[in-house]
Amino acid sequence: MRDLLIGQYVPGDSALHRLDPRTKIVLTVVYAIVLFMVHRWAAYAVMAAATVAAVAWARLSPVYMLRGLRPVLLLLALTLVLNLFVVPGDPLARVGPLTATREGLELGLRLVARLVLLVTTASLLTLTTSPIALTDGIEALLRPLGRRVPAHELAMMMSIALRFIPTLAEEAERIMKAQMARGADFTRGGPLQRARGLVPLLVPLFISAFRRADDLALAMEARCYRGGEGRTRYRELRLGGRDAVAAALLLVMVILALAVDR
Amino acid sequence: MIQGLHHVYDERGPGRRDSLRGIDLAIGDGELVGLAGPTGSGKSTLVQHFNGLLKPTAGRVVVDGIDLWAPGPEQHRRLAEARRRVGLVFQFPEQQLFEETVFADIAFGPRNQGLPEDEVDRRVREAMALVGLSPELAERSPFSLSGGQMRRVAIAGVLAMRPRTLVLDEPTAGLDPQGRAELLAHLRRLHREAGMTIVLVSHDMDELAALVERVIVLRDGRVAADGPAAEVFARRELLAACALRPPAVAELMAELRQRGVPVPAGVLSVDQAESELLAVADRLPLFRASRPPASGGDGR
Repeated sequence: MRDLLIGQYVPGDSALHRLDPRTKIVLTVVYAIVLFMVHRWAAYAVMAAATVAAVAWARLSPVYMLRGLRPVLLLLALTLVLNLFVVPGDPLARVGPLTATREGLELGLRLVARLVLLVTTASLLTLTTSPIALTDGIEALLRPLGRRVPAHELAMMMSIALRFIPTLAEEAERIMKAQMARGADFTRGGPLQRARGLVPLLVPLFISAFRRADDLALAMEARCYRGGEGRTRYRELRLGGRDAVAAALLLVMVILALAVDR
Repeated sequence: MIQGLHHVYDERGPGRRDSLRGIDLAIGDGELVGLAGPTGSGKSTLVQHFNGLLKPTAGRVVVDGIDLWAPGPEQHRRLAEARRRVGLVFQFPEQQLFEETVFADIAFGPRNQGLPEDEVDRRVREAMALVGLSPELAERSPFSLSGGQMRRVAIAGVLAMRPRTLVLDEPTAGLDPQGRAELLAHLRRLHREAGMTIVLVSHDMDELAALVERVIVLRDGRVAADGPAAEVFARRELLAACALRPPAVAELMAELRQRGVPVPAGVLSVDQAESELLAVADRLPLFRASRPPASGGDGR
């Protein structure tokens, strides 16, 4: 799991890092929609070129990005194999009772290409956007939806959750050690035994998480927190020339991709 | 016994930092040792090496002749043995409680050791008595107890494994004065009556002064001082450099000596200070008249 890039953030100050989070979110969503609209290989090539350019812009190592695909490798292989055998069409080869088809191979490869591009581009978003900027962006984008969508509350929940991941991880390690000092062994035994062995870790972890949540709620109320209404912010989001350039470049990519897809 | 111990966190990662930089020390059977040092000096890291929870980056840890990290196929067993012999009570140990009853929680350690149920029962009752928990609490939920009681349940959970050595990381942090005094009294009894080796991590010098015979001071991952409590507490510059305050009694005596009152060095306990001060007062005619009568009962 350590290789999984989605959700990780690499601090930096590349052009991509300095884009407004809203721009990055919207452009990523547009990219994903176009990715599922096009079918020809030429269009995939255009989109792949755009992704490669973005990786270079973010000054991230291509090797690092490729390694990030490792966790989804199984999914990719499964997609390819299933399509190869399930889709009807010209027979290519027979393996036992199964028949591999040319149509299956083509569809499988196309889906794999889509998934690779989708995962890479989505990781690019979180890799270049700090969690705080990301939640700020989401909040700003949800706000026009009006009162029915609690944009501020959702964003606050997200940033609190992100903030407490390292804290909980540290706590889990401490409790694990304390139980190991009492002879607990988290590494031995079958799956059932191991699952049962987690009780001495999970019960204290949940108790402390609930206590922390209570304390945090109190501390926030003590400082007069009462939701997002009328709240000003420390980091104002501002669209700049850079965002216009990025949007224009993506527009060029979309037009090109759709043009070659005819 | 610890030899040339180094510990580096996150050795190859971005958060690399040296926590212990060459520690040599030997703790003998039956000793009562205090381990002091400012925050971040490596106290907690060091004690987690005592029972093999952390693996040293360099150096050796030997418990009762067992070299914990010596290469060999028996390592898993050696570590289990070290954890049986050295009981480690973490900071805020009540946060590790998880069972439905006090009994079941204390029994967790002995059951992990694979003891028969009647022996487990015996160990649990014994451990509860050692920390002064009354037997009727055994069937209560640990979460219904007071903070001080919960902490004693957690300590009993370690004692039930009958370790020869008990290591406690800040055991009195966050307890009220009464809970603190009770806990320290129990530790003193464990040392005197059961002959246990006890290592007490604390940065409260008053607490250490009242309890331990030997003090080890850590600073920046090295041993800054190691010796009899009275000697270490007399080194005021060193303690100040470690952001530690000498025990209040030692401060008072040093202050008095500076102003020319003839009190001896090395006084650490309130009782001892009282008798020394009375002895001095006896020699000064001015105070003799105002001294309360010795038979006055509460003549302090």
